[in-house]
Formats: sequence, C-alpha cells, structure tokens
Amino acid sequence: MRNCEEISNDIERGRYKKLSVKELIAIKMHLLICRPCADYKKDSDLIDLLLQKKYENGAPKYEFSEEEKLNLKNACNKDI
Amino acid sequence: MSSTKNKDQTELIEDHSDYLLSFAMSKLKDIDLAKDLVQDTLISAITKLDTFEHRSKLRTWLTSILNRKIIDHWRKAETRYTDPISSFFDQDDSKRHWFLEKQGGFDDETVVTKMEGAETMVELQDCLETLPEKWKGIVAAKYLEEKESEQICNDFDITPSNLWVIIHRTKLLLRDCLKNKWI
Repeated sequence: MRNCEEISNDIERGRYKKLSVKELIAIKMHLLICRPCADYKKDSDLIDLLLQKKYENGAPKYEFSEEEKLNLKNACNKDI
Repeated sequence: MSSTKNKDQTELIEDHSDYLLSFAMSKLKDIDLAKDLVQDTLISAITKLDTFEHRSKLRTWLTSILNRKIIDHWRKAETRYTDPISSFFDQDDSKRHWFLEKQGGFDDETVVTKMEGAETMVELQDCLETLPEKWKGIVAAKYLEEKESEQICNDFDITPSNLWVIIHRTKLLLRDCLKNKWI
C-alpha cells in the first residue's frame, strides 16, 4: 500500500511521465478513500492551470531604466 | 573598435536587455543579482558574437548563455549555505505527513470566481515570490520554458524523485498562500 506522500508524488510524476496501469489504479483507489489526497489532486490540477495561464504570455515584465541601459553599454564597451 | 560593431552592441542591448532581465527574474528573487547576470551575459555574448552561428535566433542564444549563468549561481550558492531543498530532505520522518493535518483544499465556489479574475495572477505572483529561489526557478523551468523533467533535474542537480517531491511541496505552499489571500 502506498502512502499519501508517495501517491502525491506519483500524481506530479504523472504530469510528466506515463504512469503504469498499476500505478494509475493505485492512485484511483487511494483517492477514493483519502480525502486530503483527493483534495490535493483537485487543487494540484487547479494550480497547474493557473500556472499555465500565468506563463502563457511569457514571464512578468521587468525593465532596465535608461540610465542603467547606458551603464550597460559602457560596461560592454569597457570590458572588450 | 569599428563603428558597425559598436552599433551591433547598442542594438543588442536595446533589443534584448529587458527581455533577459524578465527571464532572469522569473528564476531569481534578487533584482540586483538579475541585473548583474544580464550584464555578464551581454558582455560574454558580445565577446563571442563572432562565434554565433545563426543556427538559432539571437534571443534564444542569449537566453541560453544567461540560463547557464543562473545555474552556475545556484550551484555556487548551494556550496555557500544550506539550501532549502537539502534541508527539506534532511528533515525527520515525523514531518513527512504534515500535509494530512492541513484542513482540506480550496472551496469550489471560490475557485470558480477566482479562476477568471485578473487579480488572481497578481496574487499568484506574490505567492511565487514566497517560495525558495530554486523552487521558483523550477516552476519557471516547467511552466514558462516547458522543459522536460530530465533537463530540469540536470540543470538543478536533483534526482527525478526530488523533483516530484519539490513540485508537490511547491503546490502545497502555493495552495496555502492562495487560500490565505482568498479568505
């Protein structure tokens, strides 16, 4: 019998790798009897969606100020 | 130095520096460190510009140089102090089931209203900032760069089973953080 920690880790592994039928059944069975893990699975799916949505347009934007850009140009000139 | 080369350099900085900074900040917490690493990247890119073979886009090439520097930073940081990841794996077994003691997950109704809200993304960003730096980096590698798990393990010097544990723990922290904001 796999414990909750292992089941949760398998759920995450399943997002990257194909799980065996045996593993999939073990997860299904466990989720039927374990409320925290069932909640975790649901929330994990949601957080996955949120993160995908967050990054679909690339990373949050940061910018150099004009002065910093000038310094960058100087630094690049100096070092070469 | 020839003036064309100078012009190339200026263009390189104008066109790509903000993008590189945004990329670095998706993986780091310290804006000054991110700026330093971008500067290092631009300097080494300009030095090696002759060897750039145009097989990839210039931006992709620059990003790969920056990524290497970020990974180097993590490896160095790891030898300097105890990293959150290793300290996590050292902790005693009694804490392994801590998430079972936590009260359930999101409430269904809240989720429906929060899914579409623009402020949810801001809240999520705040929560990402509370993660250990390496975990934030792993989230960016997975969701922003969409890297394969083997590549992430290699970059971060961790085993696959470490990776599943970190993703699991990251999601629990994000859930807790979001739940607190959504009350």
